[in-house]
Amino acid sequence: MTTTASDSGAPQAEEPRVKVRGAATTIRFPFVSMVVLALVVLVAVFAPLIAPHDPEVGQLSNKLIPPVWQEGGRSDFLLGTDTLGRDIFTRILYGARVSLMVAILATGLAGVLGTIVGLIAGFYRGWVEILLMRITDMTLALPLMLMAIVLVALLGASLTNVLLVIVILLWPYYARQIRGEALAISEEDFIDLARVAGLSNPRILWRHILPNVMPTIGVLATLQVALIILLEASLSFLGVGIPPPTPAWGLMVADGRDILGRAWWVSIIPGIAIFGVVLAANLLGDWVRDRFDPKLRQL
Amino acid sequence: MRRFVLARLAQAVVSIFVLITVLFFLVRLTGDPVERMIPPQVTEEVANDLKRAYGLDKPLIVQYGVFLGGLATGDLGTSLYFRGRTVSELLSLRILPSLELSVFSMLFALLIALPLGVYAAKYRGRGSDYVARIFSILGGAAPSFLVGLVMLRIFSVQLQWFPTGGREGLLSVVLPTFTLGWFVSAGIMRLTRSSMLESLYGDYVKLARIKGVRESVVIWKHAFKNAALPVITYATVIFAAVIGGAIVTEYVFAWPGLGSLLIRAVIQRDFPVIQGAVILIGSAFVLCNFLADLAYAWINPKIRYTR
Repeated sequence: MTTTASDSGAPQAEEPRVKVRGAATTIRFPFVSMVVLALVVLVAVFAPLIAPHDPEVGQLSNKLIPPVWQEGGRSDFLLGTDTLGRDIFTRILYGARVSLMVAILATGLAGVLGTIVGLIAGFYRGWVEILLMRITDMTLALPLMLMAIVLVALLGASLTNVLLVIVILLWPYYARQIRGEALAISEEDFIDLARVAGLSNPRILWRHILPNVMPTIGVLATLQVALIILLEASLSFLGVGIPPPTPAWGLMVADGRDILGRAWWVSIIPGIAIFGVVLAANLLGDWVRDRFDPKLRQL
Repeated sequence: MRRFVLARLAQAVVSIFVLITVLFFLVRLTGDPVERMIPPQVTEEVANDLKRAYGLDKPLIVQYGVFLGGLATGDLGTSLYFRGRTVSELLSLRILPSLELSVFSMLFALLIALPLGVYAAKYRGRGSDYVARIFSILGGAAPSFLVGLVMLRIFSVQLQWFPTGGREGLLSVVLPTFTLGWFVSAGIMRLTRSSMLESLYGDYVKLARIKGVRESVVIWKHAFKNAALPVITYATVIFAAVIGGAIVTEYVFAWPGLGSLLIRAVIQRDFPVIQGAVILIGSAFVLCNFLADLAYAWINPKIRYTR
């Protein structure tokens, strides 16, 4: 398709680097976002040390205690409890682990797979390129959320399958972008020189092309973290993601869906956690893109 | 132009065909639908009868042929959960509500995002720019299910202005439209703002200003006309956002559309319905993209017609 976002050469939506009024277009370093994300990482790592209760087992006698600032709240359950009497604060802490793990693993795996495909397609050309890019385009031409729901539903809802499906659906974004760049780089003079010097193809790919596409990979990865967290949360919310009783944030929102009137905190507090992390990751992604690769504005 | 249209059409048809084929084999290869559906204590005989009834005892390739043949005549099989009801019947009841929600949300998103994007660009770095950008940043980060639940909690449970779900009367459409519309408008506003910035500094805008054209005409006629193009360029991304957002929104508000049917079918493991819903939604998506491609080629004379 000549007119999709995935096309590497579409300049229309790039924000112009307007020089007229100074450097107002460059975004300031998102300090608050960094703090939020650092906090989430710390919390995820040290969850067992900080958490005051068990994340998966609660006491029914403690069910639906409101957060501490509300009437009837108790100081040993800071953010209240859910229908099974589990501490929501504890589950939020452990939920950070789930979100982060999915985000990091999926970003990494999709990035590695997409980069390999993109490099091979852009460097070797010929029928390999045509085949790989057809698969890439086909995958990109499907609506992400719909396919994610269906694939997880067919494979069965589990953490591994959620990861697998996200990787299957997201690697083409890297492949598209990296292929375009590998194509351009492989026509540069220094690649010819390397060839004259007797370097083998894999070596040229590894030593000369890969380092040149690294910034793009980094930017794409940062931009995808927020998307992945949101995707996993949505899947878990819909019941086609991480199965209970694992404390995944999306799942926790779903838990409180039917008791919104009596116990808003069961749904809304985990929802705010998702919102905060996605917001922080988005802002950081924007900054990284702006700083390191303004070409990618369209993403 | 005709060649371009035909080539795009062929591409669209191939995409739909691949989707249908991949889906068919995925559904069969990831497990026998009957075995997933029946309780373990059912005897083998009963299970075999069921399989025969649904044609699942034949070789895969034969099943595929039967399936394609059925598809050509609009027959998508029968639901495993609602015994005796055909998939096409179930789907057809859901099309109108889904269309209604998507169209309303899309209109809402455009009505909000286009003017907001234009003003944000015109007053870049000032108050209205910040308001617009915060609106879009929040809309892009807030999961639709959270927005939906907060809306429900405040406006349906607390204030009781709107129904808590379902599709009855004009009031019931307000909260789902806002929820989905906000999510969609975030991206559109961003696009409009950045491309508006670009065209506002273009030579033709300068020229129009020098000629003494009124500012509102400069903004809306000269600059905006060019700035609107990327919104069509990114139609694919926008349509995908509408579809994904609609599935979640319909589920939250118990809106009787294709999205909530799909989720219910997934929970009940009703594979014919899942298959039918995905084929229908996926085809609609491919078709919309095809139309957007045509619109883009028609509006922008610079586009190459081949490749």
